[in-house]
Parts: sequence; structure tokens; C-alpha cells
Amino acid sequence: MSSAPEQAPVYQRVFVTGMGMVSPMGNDAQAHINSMRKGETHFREIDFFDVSRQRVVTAGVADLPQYRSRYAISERAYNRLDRGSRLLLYATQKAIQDARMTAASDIPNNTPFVIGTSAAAMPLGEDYFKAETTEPFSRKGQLTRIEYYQPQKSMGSIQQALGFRGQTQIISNACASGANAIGHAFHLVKTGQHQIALAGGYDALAQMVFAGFDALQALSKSGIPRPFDVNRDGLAIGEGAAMLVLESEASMNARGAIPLAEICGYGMATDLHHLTQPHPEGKAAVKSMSAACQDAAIQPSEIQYINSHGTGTPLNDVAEANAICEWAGDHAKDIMVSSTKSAMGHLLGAAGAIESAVCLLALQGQFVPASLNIRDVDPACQFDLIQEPRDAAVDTVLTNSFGFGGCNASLIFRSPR
Amino acid sequence: MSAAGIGAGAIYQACMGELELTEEKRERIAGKETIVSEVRPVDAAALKAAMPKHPRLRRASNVSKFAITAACEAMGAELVERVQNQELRLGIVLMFMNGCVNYSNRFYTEVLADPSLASPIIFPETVYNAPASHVAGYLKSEGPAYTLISDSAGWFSSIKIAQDWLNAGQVDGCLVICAEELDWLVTEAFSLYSGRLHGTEGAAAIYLEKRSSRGASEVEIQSMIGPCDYTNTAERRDAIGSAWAIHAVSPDALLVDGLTGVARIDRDEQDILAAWSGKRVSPSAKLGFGGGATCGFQSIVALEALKNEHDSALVMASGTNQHAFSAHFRKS
Repeated sequence: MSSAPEQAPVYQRVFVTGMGMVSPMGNDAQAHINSMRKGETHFREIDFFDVSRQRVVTAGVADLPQYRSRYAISERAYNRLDRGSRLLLYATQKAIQDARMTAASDIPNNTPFVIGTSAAAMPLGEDYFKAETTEPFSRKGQLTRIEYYQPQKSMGSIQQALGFRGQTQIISNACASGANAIGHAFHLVKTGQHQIALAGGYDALAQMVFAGFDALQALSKSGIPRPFDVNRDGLAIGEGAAMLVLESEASMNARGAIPLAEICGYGMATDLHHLTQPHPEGKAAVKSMSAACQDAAIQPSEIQYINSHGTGTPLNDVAEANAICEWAGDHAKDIMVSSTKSAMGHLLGAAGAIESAVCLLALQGQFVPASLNIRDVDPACQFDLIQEPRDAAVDTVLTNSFGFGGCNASLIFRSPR
Repeated sequence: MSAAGIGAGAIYQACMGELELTEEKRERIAGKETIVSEVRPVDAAALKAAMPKHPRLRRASNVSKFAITAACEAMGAELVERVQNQELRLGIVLMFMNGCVNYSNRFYTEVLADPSLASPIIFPETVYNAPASHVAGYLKSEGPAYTLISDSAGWFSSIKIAQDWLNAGQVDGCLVICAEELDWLVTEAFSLYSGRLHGTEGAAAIYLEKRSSRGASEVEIQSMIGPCDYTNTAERRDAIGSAWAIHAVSPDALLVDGLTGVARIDRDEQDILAAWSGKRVSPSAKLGFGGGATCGFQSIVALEALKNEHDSALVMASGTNQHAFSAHFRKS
């Protein structure tokens, strides 16, 4: 079948003018900076679902912000939202505020609201399941659970709460979802289809997902992940949300907005090796990083820092290390690489978004966060693996996100010029 | 792939009343009681016969099998081979409302019983993008692949993404797929909206190329209106009204609407489309409500109509809780 609309793309530069984040590190940018500068880890026992029979009982748990009276929805409506959507609402409000925008006047109707999530409102699905199996003829609360289990419903509530009307698009590409959402929104602005987009990702801890990773024996038994350590034994799950405001140069200038960074490259590729395991040489990772560079019209040698996917699982890290070395060639030894999952855990569908925010903080603060807890570096790491937070001149950075199903995504940000 | 059988033609025949669909009563024992749901499922034997063979599909969920079967039909053997031989850069956009519910149900049941015995084989198949991964794996497609979660009108958002990828030259062709599978979790959820809303399952897929790619195609998407977003019922009515502006482009077209046959659910769309005096067909009323596959089934009916007696067809997608869309398909 033919697709009729054919418009010559008009490329425009795209800047990040606001960001909001909530993660186990804290609920604002400064908390994240402080934590990364100190090299702190943030793992504790989960206390809001039963982990007593799990092999692992800890995760990166976020402090869920309370209902805020400035939200234009009632507390009752707020309470219908799942944990993850509440995290996202908070991050979105912070991003809009950071961009010095007033939702009603500065965010046009039909602004893309592109969200990545892996598990979406799974905790509500779990509650629905338990109610249907324990009290199948009591319908109390079930319709609400089903309505809000559908993430697009919650995204509508977030827009109501913050006073704007956007075009919701929810990308669920497992652990690459957040990066895909930001990359997709970037292209919507880059190609001139929109002047502003809100993009990010979220995921909250959910029993089924936590048990799933535990069943796969993908979780670190100690609860402390050690990405790129030769004896790494798995990841730690985390939760959180991050949101970016993306704007065309024209829109940014018209508003007098201050750019945090330019987003200049997005690449994606599919790893066909296995549903849950990457190709040992990271072939798709090489493709996604190369595609991002091509999109940004830069060479790998222009990248100073990579916020790696770096889960801490034996298979992921060696594949990513091999991919970085192949992609960067002789320049690999000069590239600083770290995984902030070592400090906050793997935020799944939010990972690409929070790690994009980390990249922006690195550009702003001229420092690179560390891969923590490393004792012996895996010999595959033929790059500058950052083991202590470091002040460094960084101008152009890349973040990788790789997910189940072979979804690989890479984003490139650089300091505004 | 649908309750009507194998292939797009079967959906069209069922919707035109040329094929009788059987309804199945599914029972779930809940304590001392039995909950009965009436559904229109895909025939397991038909699926097995139509589905391509691939190691990835041995343990895959039904929704993955539906998706890959529809994808292969949409592309045809020649294009499948070209993609598998890396001669064609393919994009894949797959959308759901519900996703991999069978295995999610099974895995969570195991987790609640004893998480130490929960199957590590099942869990990856519960992830939303597992079906898209299997489609890519079968086709050996290393290109872009998105899985979208949306209401039923998200089918058209998926088409828009495909158009973007094609226009940007990222891909030579793009598969757009929607799929759903039945489970008591889904059918009992549908019953919360109406006891008369019967579920169905299956997948629909279309393969898109730019107009200039391989000479003239038989059919094309002439225009789309949307997304017309809404966050509540009052806005929904306005959104459907905005999308319905499409009726002016082709008053002689076949209208493929989204009516389910349940008055309370259909009221807004019924009212707004009331003045339409041309031919119309309501796939959901015939097949059942297919969640995220609904608008895909509608579009398949529209495309099959173009192969038969119609030159032009309109699809109206009112959505359920996110957005409305409409589209005009016509012969090239």
C-alpha cells in the first residue's frame, strides 16, 4: 500500500529547555548532582509489595512525592493514578517549571507528549487480578483499575493536572522505551512537525516485573550492582521518571528560553540474537550508536562521555563494552564511560529518560558520574571507565539504552552553542 | 488473522455477512461459581496452519503468533524474502491496548503462588514488545521497531509513525501491525463496560511504502484526520466530530465505522455519523470488540472493499479514551 503524504523534511535544531526528574537519588536536579558528586548508592528493602519469598529483596526505591495542591485535579483523581504515573506527573510539572513555561499559554494544543514505559500501570493490573481471583463477584473499584491500567488514560489525567492538551504517544520498547520516546519527540521537532515536545519515561516498581527479573536470575544477589566489574552478578531494579522539554531553536529564541543542551542525534537498531540476550559483540549497539552519530553528523571521536546502558549483568556489559570499542576504534581509550545504574538501579522504561537527564547534568556541571562498586574491571573495558566522580570537560555525550526484545537506542546531547 | 479465519478476505466476508461466525462460551471457575464470557476467538487449528514456522514462535504467546501471521500476509512471500535477505530496510510499528495478557496472567499466578517457582521462560513473553521482537526476528529485520500502547485509534498513530520513517528515508517499507489476544482478564474487563460487549482477538497488518517506491500500488491512504485528542467524555464527542470531517472528501465511499452494537458505548459515534446515507459496515458489531486490533480490522475491511466493489472507503476510529482518527483509503 502507498502512503500518500510526502513532505520534504525541514530540519531544525532542537534544544532541551527544561527537565524534571525523580529517582532513588531524589526528586530534583540538585539532589541528583549531590548524590552523583558524592558517589552514593540508593538501594533499600521494598516495603510496598511482598518480597519475602524472593531471592532478592532490595531495589532503588523513589520517595513518592505527595499530592500537590497546584495540580488541577482533585486529590481523589490523583489517587486513581498508579505509582508510576504519579512519578511522571511530578517530573513533568518540574520540567515545565524548569523551562519557565506556563502550561496553558506556552504549550500549544497538540504538543507531542511522548512517553516511554515498560510496565506502565502494572500495579493496577495486579490489583485487578487479585480482586478478580479473590472476590470475583465484587466489582468495587474494578472499573477504575481497568481504566487507569491503560496508560493513555493516566497520561490524559497528567495533562489535566498540569493544564495542557497534548498528543499522547506511549512507546513500550522495554528498557529502551525512555530513550525511544525522547528520540522520537526529537525527530518530531527536528523535522518541523512541531515546535515543542514533552518527552520522557517512567516506571514504578511492580511485583510481577520484580519477580520476573528475579526468576531470570538477572538481579544481583547482593542487591548492589557492579556494572563492568569482572565479577558482576546482575542488576538492581529501580523506579522513577524523567521528563524533558524539547524545543526548536525558533521557539526557544521566541520565548527567550535558556537551553540546557542541544539534542542532536538519535539512533536505533534491533538486536535479533535472542529475546533477552544481546549479541555478544553488541552488533545492534554499534548500529544504534553509529546511527545516532550519523543523525548528529559527528564522529565517535567527538564524544567525550557515554552514559552506558551498563546494567551489571554478565552478558550485557561485555556486549556493550565490545560495541563501544568497535564503534569508537582507536578513540575508545579516550572516551569516559560509566553506568549510573550502579547508584540508582535500572529504571527500566524510565532508564533512557533519567540517564538523558544525567547527561544534561554532566554537561551543565562539567563532571562525569561514576560506575560505583567496581573491584576488578572487566578486561573488555578498553575505555576510560570512570570509577570515581570526576570533574571533566564534556561537550558532547551519548547515552545508550538497550532492552528486551533487542530494542537498542542511542541519544547524543551537546552543550548549547 | 481473526475469528473469521485466515486472511483479510475472511474478515471482509464476515463483515459483509457472507460468513457466519461462531461464538464460544468460555467458563472460569471462581470459587463455587462459574463466570461465563461469550467470545469470538481465533480458531487454533487455522492459526497453526497459517503461521510461519520459526524457533522463536515455539514458546511465543498467541498474540505474537497472530501478529507474525498477519505481517506475513500483508507483505507477501516475495517481500518477506527480500527483507530476510537484507535487500529491503524495514520498519515495524506494532500497537496494543492489552498486549500479552495470557502469559501475564499465567506468570503472575505463579508469582503469587510461589515466586521461586515462577517460570523464567514465560516472563519475557509478557513484555509488551515481545511480539514486535518476534516479528523482527522472523523477518531478520534489524531496523527501527516500536511497540505502542494506545486506545484502539492508536492504529492510525502507528501509521503516522510509519509515514514519518518513510518520509525521512529511514526505511524502504514499514509494517504496521495491531494485535490482541483473549483471556478471561480481558473479557471480564470488557464486561465492566457492558455485558453485551463481546471480545474478539487476532491481528491486522498493512505494509506501507512511499508512493514512488515500486511503481503504482493498488491502493493508498489518501488522507487522515487526527489525532483528535480527548481526556474525558465531553471532549470525546468533540473529537469524534472533528475526525468526522473526513466524510466530506468522499460522500460515495463505503463507511467502515467503529460501532460495536452496544448502544451505550456507541452513542457519540452513532449521533455524529447519523446523517451518513451511504453504505456502511460495522466490523466490531460482527467480529466483536478487538481492543487494539479494532481499527486494524476496520482498515482491512476498507482495503478489501477496494478490491471488490468500491473505489473509496472511509474508516472512522472514535477510540475509547485517548483520541479519534479518520482515514480515507482509495484505489490509486
